[in-house]
Amino acid sequence: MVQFKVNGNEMRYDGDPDMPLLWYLREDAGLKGTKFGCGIAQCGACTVHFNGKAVRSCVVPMAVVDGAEITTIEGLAAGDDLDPVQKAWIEIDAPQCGYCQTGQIMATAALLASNPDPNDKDIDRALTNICRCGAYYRIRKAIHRAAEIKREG
Amino acid sequence: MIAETPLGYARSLKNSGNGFLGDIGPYLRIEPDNTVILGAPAPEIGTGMHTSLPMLIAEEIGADFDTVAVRQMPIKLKRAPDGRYSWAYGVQGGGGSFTLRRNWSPVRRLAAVTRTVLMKAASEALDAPVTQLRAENNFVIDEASGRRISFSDIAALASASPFPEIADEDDIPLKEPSGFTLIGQWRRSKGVEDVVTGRAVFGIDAEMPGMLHAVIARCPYFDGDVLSVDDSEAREVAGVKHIVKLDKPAHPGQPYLAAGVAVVATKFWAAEKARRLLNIEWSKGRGAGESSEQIMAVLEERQQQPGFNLVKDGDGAEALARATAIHEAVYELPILTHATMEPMNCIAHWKGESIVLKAPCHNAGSVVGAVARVTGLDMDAIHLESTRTGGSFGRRLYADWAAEAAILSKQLNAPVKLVWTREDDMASDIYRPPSRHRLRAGLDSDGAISAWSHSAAVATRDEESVDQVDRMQNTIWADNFPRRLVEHFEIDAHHETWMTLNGPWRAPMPAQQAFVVESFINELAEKTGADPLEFRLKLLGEPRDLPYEHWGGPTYNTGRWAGVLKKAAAAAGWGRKVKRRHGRGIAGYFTFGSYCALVVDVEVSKNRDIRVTRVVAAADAGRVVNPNGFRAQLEGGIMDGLSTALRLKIDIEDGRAVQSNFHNYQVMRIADAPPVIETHMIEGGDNVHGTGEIGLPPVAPALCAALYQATGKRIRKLPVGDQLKA
Repeated sequence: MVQFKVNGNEMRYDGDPDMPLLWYLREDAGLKGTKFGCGIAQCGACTVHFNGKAVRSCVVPMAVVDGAEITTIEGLAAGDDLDPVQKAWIEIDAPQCGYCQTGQIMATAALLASNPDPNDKDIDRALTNICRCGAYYRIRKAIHRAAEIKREG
Repeated sequence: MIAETPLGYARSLKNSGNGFLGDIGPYLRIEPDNTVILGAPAPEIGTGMHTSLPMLIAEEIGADFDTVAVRQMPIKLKRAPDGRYSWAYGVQGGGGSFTLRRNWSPVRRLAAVTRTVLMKAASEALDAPVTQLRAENNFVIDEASGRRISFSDIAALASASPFPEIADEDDIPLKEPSGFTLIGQWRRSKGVEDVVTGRAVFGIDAEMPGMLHAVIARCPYFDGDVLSVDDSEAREVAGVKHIVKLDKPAHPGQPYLAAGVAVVATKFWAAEKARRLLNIEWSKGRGAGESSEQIMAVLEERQQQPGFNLVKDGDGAEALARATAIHEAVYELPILTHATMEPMNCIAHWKGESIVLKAPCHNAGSVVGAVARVTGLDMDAIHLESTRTGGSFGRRLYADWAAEAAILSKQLNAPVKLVWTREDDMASDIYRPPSRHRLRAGLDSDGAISAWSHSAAVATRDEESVDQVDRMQNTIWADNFPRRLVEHFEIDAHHETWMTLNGPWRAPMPAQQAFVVESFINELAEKTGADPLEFRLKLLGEPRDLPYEHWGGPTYNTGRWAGVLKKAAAAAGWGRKVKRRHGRGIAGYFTFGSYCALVVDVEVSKNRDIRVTRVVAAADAGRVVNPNGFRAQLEGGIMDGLSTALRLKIDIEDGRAVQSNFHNYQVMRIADAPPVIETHMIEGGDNVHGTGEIGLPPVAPALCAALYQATGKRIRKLPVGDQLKA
């Protein structure tokens, strides 16, 4: 039995300890904003926050989530007030097919938490998520805009 | 092409029963809260169809764009007395950069019919002649009195009276482009709020009550089979319900299905865990021993012999004999996989005499066709709901995944959700085929091209077709550039059959030919000492229409092609000197009705690492509905072109794919993406065209020209990879 929090809610799990957190979130908790893309921590479509850090939930076994605080895309906004990253994404209209974007947003939110004003090099290092549509030009713009919105408060 | 549109709209209205209940056929509905719902005939795969189509509706009907919502329309087919099926109201699907163009008239016509119905009813309600009324922001307004009535109130009133007679829908005038207030304006993508909050439902997120989860261990060898299965360990995994051997289908051709073993469980993870415990012995089939390296050698060998003649204008041999100089080069293109971000998936629920499917689609017709073939059902017993689609790039024009889900659901008599993993996706794709091209050109004393000879060789599976031209269709067409601009022009084609499956991959033919032809033109420009831009403009000559009897035709215009080249060049500062180890390259192409030219800037480090610093694009896709979507598609196409040209290929060894996931098929990440992409829009024609493919073809030749300027090394084989370091 492991106990942990997802988006502030207390959760318990006593199933297969090998199951990746991704599939717990999608199929047990019904939080489908976190996507499956590769299963080997390459693409980042499954990015969530694990005790505040961006992790790839497709390779995090349920065995290690005991005591953790997990935030998913569904828990990023404070109620109806969207997170600055989500606001910037809408303003710039970054998504195309949209499948990778929740992962991109979670990775960006974690970056801005530790670096409120990232330059292009910081972005290149921190954002390693794949966007197959190649929306990177707007994603980069949206990251800078999110930092601005966040600073403006 | 389009069955019964726009007349089908009025018929469906008349057949909808007594009076008008707000439903405008299957396509359009006015809600009690005065919003409008468009039942979209095409899916949202990332190309903005669910934004541009409602823009057409809002413009024509006089609605506020923000109040027009989009739902994916359920599939509607009709059966003719001879048993054949056609679309009941119009084509439901996308592809070929044709979706917007196909829907441009019918969707506006639908809105115009609706507007006419609303106007007639409003005329009675307001007791004012129709000529005195106008529709704006979901209201009909009497210009004389200023009184107004909402669309929803009109719909409520109209529902009590019979549907008005419309003599001929074609007589209803459409808005003149000069009066457009919405078409041509920047609009944000519909549904972006759902995407960024995780609420958007893709196929992989869909559910059906009581559904089981399935994965399939497919034979990794193209054309191989299952020799034996030991599932004793797999059966021990908690949650596993069924383990089912899937035979190779007896039918030839589509859908191509691999032999394999399906694991069906209560959860995805249980199925996947159990699959990893299967012990399967495979046979290699007819693909045993086949490799990508060997196939290139075979193609080269074939090209030593005469092939079949795809086109022959003039007398190339004689012209080459008379040429002042002859230039020759060989280009090679690798196998590519689609790697859609959302892996293939489908839910199927067999109901005995019918089946219900939910899936992320690109082409609903291929899903219905494939499922009919493997279940034996009539097409009208197949009910398909399309969800939002996490990319296609041509992959979801096929429906092998839907056929698999249907087979499992029928066999188990239960709703089944099938999900492919990334490894499944790369091992069992319908890949872009490999090709090899040898080009020879004769140059005259003025530096003009007097003869052009292109030998194209491709390897495909193509078991359905033995037609020579057909087999080449994803690689080269007779009207290949620069046909009709060079007096003596010929294409000699070679086809080799092998077991690796092949199909269209984003801008199938142009993405290959732009690299070959535009790279060769850059070489010819250098050979004659001409500037590559000037060389192209001279070749294109006076603005005129030339025949183009293929997708995107029937003609193309040399002036519009020259126009995008000049625009991109001017915007990029073409002709200015570049720094040492920097390079700037240019290329342009005509793709499916549109023109796009690019200038690519690169910087190559002392270690020969490549950095693309800027791409400047100019495109002419005729009338633009949403400049936001136009730019987004160009930006994405350019990134895809760079990602692919720099690094991507699938190797085949012993009849199976070598690359298996994103660690060895390294799709570009943000660090390698150029920080600057400039897109310039030219509206050189009245027709609308898609822009999802046009940005990609000119990327590779412009990139390679820039790399040549920076390093002096010609890249004639894609991907670029480590060739600069060799």
